[in-house]
Amino acid sequence: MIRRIKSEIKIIGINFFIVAVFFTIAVIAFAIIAGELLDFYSVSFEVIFPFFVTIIAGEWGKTRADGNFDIIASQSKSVFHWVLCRYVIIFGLSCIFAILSMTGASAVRYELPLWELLIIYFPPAFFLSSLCALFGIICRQEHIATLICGIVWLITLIARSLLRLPGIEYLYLFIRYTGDPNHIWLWNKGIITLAGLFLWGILYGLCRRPNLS
Amino acid sequence: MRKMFSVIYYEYKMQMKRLATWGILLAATILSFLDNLPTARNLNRLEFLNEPAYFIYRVISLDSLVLLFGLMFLLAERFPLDSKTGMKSLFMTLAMQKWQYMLGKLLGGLLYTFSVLCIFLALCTTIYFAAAPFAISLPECIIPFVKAIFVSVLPVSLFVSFCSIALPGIMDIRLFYILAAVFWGANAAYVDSADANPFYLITSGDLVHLIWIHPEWSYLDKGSVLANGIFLMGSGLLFIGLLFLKPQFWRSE
Repeated sequence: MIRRIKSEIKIIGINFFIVAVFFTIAVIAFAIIAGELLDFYSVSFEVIFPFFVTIIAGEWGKTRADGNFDIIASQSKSVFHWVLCRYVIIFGLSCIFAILSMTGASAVRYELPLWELLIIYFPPAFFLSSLCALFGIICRQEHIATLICGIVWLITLIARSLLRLPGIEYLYLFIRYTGDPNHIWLWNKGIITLAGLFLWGILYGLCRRPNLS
Repeated sequence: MRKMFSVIYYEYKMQMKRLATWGILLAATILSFLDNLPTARNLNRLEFLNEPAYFIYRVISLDSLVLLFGLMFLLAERFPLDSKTGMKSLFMTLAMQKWQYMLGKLLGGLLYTFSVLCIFLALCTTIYFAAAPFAISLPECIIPFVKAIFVSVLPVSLFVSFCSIALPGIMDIRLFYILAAVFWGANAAYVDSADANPFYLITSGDLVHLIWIHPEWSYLDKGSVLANGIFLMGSGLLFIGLLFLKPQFWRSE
């Protein structure tokens, strides 16, 4: 497993770490300069950071768009195991930078405890990056998975007015960003996490298809 | 010049033939209809939806942002893809100059973005005209449509196409995606108000108020309109300049 992690980090390359460090520093700098009227933690860790993680999963965690996919699909015992491994490593590394950002931001601007920040961050990041992983195994072309998830992210951000419809607040990805008027955010986060796991179920089914490559 | 026009032609043709282009157009159009189609529910929710100028203003300021976000992804890979597939090396062996290749790509992308935006706006306006349960005259639709093409579609296409094509030629495409996502997110989160809108808004800056303006907030800050226009057109040209100045982009002449 350690060998696998080292191999995947070599494949990811130095660019990922440079971009992630730059982004973490930018978030902490934003925490310093942002005014009191801005709901900083919801904007940063519920909206922006999850999409950053989605881009990471789509661009650095390529599966079907990987040049060696056909060889891996035909030679490996389980494509799903390879996809899952790659995703877990990429997502895990991104979460380390997310935690560093949260810790740095809390040091300059304490508003919420770390455990609450993690609960705010994890479900939308997991759901969007899982959606990206799912489209990553469907689409052979590069960047298409990130494109689709980007459009989903932007439409969700624009369509806040849908919260007036009954039940939507339990599914809306950025509930704390909207103020969570009915205090159902924990239910919301649980449902979104389950939705993310459901996407992995679909991904498992797709990986088991004999004509995948 | 002939080589540049060839690049423009094939760039435009390749982009327009992509399935993803039509998929994004379809998604943006469906979103626009869900939000703006003159059904009884939408007419109840949106006070001015019975005015064609308001409909066009709303399509441009809200729904076209989603379309442009999708097009941004498709435009961003033009230079990196040529480097990756070896096409750039092939072009460099031809008697093609740097400016012909660059301008061909940029103008091809501009033409593509402009066409898709125009098709989107025309489609939405036609269906609004056909589906409206109240009487609308054709000039009531055509005048704001033509205004929208000149005051919004053209500068916005320039900004999005030039930035999306030029910047990935200077930086890592993935870093560009992250920066663009933050910028688009800030645009999406902004809520209109009686004050002058920030100049950096792509589709909902004060330039778009030349199409329609709220009757209760009818003062239009000309300085803000100018600033928005200069930002949209100037940024694109600035990034092209940076790309031209980039050393080692092309063979040494």
